[in-house]
Amino acid sequence: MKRLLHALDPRNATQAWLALLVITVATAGIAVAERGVLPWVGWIIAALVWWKAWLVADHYLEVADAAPVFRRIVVAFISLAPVLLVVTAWMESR
Amino acid sequence: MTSIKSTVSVAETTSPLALGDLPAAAAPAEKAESKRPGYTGMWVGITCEFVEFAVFFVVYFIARWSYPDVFRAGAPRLWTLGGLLITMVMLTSGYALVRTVLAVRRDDQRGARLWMTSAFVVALGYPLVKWLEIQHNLAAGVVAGNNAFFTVYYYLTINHFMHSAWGILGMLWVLVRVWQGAYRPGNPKGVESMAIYWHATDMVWLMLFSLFYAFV
Repeated sequence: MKRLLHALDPRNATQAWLALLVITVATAGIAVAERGVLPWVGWIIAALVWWKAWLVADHYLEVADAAPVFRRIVVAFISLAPVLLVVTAWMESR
Repeated sequence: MTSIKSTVSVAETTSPLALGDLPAAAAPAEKAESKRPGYTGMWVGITCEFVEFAVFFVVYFIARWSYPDVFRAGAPRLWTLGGLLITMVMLTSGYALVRTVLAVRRDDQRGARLWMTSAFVVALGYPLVKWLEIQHNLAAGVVAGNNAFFTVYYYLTINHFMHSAWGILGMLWVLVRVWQGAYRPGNPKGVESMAIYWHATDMVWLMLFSLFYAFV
């Protein structure tokens, strides 16, 4: 799993940008095709949006070089909506 | 007299509000701060932006949990392509800003001018697509007063648009300064701060995209 995540991690800003565009199109495609069909699709959308936000934070915002307090704030912010999306998908699947 | 002068000098340099020489113990922290991207004030600013939108997200989810059928019926009526195009614009102008910062750090002034101009021109696509989206919405009868979904949708997306408009104005200022050659490897904080603001606004948009246009 760790190796897979490492392989998927872009090596520079250009690769991150291309990855972001591909994930965005994939997210929209999945959402439009599967809207209201399968409840757990919400979990996939939540994971993809977190991944996109992390790529921006890591490769664009250079959050690794920011002060630790701001690093934590960024991680908390990009996790809020995805976590609530997962909770929503879980509630709607019951 | 000499001893009084000496006492005043020590008091000035050790005062917590002193703007002159820093105490020796604070020097390493100051050095670490200078290596961090952007001004601390900009990081504080985007923290405020995150808190603001975090509150909006909580409002969104409370409304969604209260009116699930209204949200499920409302989302397909939005212009998904418009949301997709705004995402592309935000990500691409953000990428151009990253390249601008990299160019400034290696003192590539020509590259900085090219990338900063690209970032600004691409960012102008946001107001254009937003205008087209509003035309699309009006034609489809999608207005804020329809129901809870559309009220939240307009409130959050227009609010984000305002933040982006400030970002575009900031970009215009940085663009002028880049063309003047104001940013150098020893002085990149201004352009870095502009980029930080835009990337933070970009992250907010990615969340909005998943809440409205990629609604499942």
